[in-house]
Amino acid sequence: MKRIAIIDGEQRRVLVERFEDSFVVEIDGKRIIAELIHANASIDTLRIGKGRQYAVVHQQSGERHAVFFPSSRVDLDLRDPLTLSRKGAGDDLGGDEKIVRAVMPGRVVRVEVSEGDEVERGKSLLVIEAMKMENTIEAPRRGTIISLHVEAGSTVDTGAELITIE
Amino acid sequence: MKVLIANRGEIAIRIIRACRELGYSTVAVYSEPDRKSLHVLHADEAIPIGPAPSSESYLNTQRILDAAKSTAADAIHPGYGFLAENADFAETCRNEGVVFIGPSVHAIRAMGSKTESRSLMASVGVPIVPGLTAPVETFDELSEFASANGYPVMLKANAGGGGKGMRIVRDGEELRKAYERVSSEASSFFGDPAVYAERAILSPRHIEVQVLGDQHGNLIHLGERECTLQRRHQKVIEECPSPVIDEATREHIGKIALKAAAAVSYDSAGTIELLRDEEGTFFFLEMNTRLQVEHPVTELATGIDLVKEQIRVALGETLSLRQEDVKLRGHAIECRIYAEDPYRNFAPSPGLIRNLMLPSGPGVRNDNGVYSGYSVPLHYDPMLSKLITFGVDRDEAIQRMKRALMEYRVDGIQTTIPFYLSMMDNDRFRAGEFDTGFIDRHLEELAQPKVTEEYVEAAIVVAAIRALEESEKVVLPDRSDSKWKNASRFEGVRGRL
Repeated sequence: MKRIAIIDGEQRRVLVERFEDSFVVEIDGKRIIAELIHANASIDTLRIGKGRQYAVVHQQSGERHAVFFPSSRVDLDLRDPLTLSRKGAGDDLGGDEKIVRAVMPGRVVRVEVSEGDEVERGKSLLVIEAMKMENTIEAPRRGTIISLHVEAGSTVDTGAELITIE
Repeated sequence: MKVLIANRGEIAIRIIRACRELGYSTVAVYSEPDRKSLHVLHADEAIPIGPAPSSESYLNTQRILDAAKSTAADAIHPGYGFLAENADFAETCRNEGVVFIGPSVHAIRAMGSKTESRSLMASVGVPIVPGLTAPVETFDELSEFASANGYPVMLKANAGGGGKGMRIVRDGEELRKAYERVSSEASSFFGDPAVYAERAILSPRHIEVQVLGDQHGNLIHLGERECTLQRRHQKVIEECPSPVIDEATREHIGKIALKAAAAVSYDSAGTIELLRDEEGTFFFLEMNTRLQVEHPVTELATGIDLVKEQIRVALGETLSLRQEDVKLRGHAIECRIYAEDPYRNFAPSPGLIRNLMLPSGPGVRNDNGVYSGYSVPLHYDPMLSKLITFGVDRDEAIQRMKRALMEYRVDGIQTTIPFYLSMMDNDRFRAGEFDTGFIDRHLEELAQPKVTEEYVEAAIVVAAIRALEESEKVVLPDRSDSKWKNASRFEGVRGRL
C-alpha cells in the first residue's frame, strides 16, 4: 500500500506491506522491518530492525494520525497518493477538513472571527471554557470563514461543528 | 464505625482505603456526572447528592448531612478542597452529633483569615512576611504602605489561598489597577473583597511542615515537604525531604511549625506553609487546616499513615507517636497527573479514557482516581491521579519517577506525563536548584516534544501499519455467531429435543 506522509508540510513517500509475521515499511526508499504489538485497542509496542522497541499510543481521525511516545508526540497526515494528486498536493497541507470541530466539551466564551474573514493557519478563532480554564481554538488551515455554527454562550460537545472554513 | 467521605476522585479513594484498614465501613457521595467515578465504585454505600455544579452537590452541606443521616454515618471526612476548611460545616456536623474529621472550629476560623492569622502568628513570635496585619480600608492606605515598604509588594486577598487572589506589584503605576483586580477576584472567588499587602519575596522556595496533634494536647511535626515547583501558583511536583533542608534547619522550622499550630491548640493533621527567601530566612505563609494533596510523600518518607492517624485523633484517641519516633528515611517525589495537554499550553483535556496502563514495580505508588472506560468530566479539577515514587535517596527517587512515567500509558485524553518526563531530565531540577517561578520561566522548553528523525520514522511506521491493518479489515455481515446468542438459542430448543 502506497501512502504520502505529511509532517509539518514536508512530504515523504511511504510503502507498507506485510512481510511474514511483520511488516516492511519503506520511507523515501529506506527499508524498515517492523512489528506492531497490540497490548489492547490503542496501546502498542513498536519493534523495528533488530529489536529496538518503542512504547506508543496511536490515535487516528481520518487521515490524521497522532503517535505519542513517553516524551514526544508526532502528528502526521497519511494520504493516498491518488487523492492527493487529484486535489493538487501542497495547497492545503493543514488538512482538507472544512469544518473546525470542538476537541473538548465546554462552553464558548467568545468568537473572535466573523463570516467572510480571511484567516491564516494558527489564527485564534474562538475560546472555549472547560475545567475552569479558557482554551483557544486556532484555524487548522488558511481560508475564508464561511459560517459560524456557535455563538458566545453556546455549550458544545466533543466533535461539535464550530466553524466552516474554505 | 461508618465514615462518609464528602469528596470525590483520588482523595476519596485514599480515605476509603484508610477506613477499610481501620475496619470501618464507608459511604461515598456523588454528583450526577460522578455516578460511575472510581471513588463511588470503591465504597460500601453510595448516595447521590445533586447535579454537576459543586455548589449544588459537593458544597451542599444540607445534602451531605442528609446523606450522613440516611446512612447512619458516625463521621464525615471532608478530604481537601470543597468543605475541608469550612468552619460552619465543621460546626454543624458536630452540633448534629457527627464527627468532623478535622481540627477544631476555632482553629479553622483563626487560620482562615490571612490577616488575622498573621497578627496571631506575630503575637506568638512566629516570623511573618513583613507587611500589614489588617486589610486596607482605602487605596491611600495601601499606597502609603507601598511607599514606606518600597517595591515590589505583594497584594493578597484576605480570604485567599491555594494560589488564587494574589498579585505582585513592581511599581506605583501598577498599584491602583492591581488593587482593583485583586479586590474583584477576591470578591468573586472568596466572597470577600478585603485585600492586604506584604513585602514581595523574590525567588522564594515554598517549604511546608506537616503537623499532627490530638485532643489531649499532644502535638508533633513530621518534617518538611518541598513544594517549590509550581505552575501558575499551583503545586505540580512535591518532595520529602527538601533537597535544601539539613537536620538543623529541619529542627528549626519544625519548632516554628509547632509554635504556629500550638497557637490555635491544633488537634488534627495540618500543614504550616513557609516561604524561604534567598538568604535562607523562613516566614509563615499560611496554615492549611486539613489533609494536603501532597501528604503521600510524607507518608513514604516517615512510614506513617497520615490519614489513619487523622481519623484516630478525630475519634478522640491519643496520638500513638512521639516526636522522637518520627524519622525521615529515603526520598519521595510526587507528580500530579493532570488531564491537560502540555503540548497545547496545558489546555484541559476532559473526555473518555479509552485505555489506561498504570506503572507499578518497586517504590511506586499510584493514588489514582480513574480507569479505562471512564470519562473525565469537565466540571471539576483536572487532576486524574498522583504518581509517587520512593528511593533510598533523591537520585533513585527521580530515576524511579522517570521509569514509572515511561510505563504510564493513557489513551483518549492528553495528560501532563510528557512534561514531568522532561522535568526529571532537567539539570536544574536534578541539582535541586529552583524557585517558585522556575517552571513558568522555562515552560516553553519543558513542554516541547522531542521530535527527532528517529521518532518521526517510528511514527510513520506506526501510522502506516495501522492504516494497512485498517484497510484489511473486512466488514462481515452479522452472522449472529455470538457464543451467547448461540447458547441461548440452544437453551430455547433444548426442551423440544
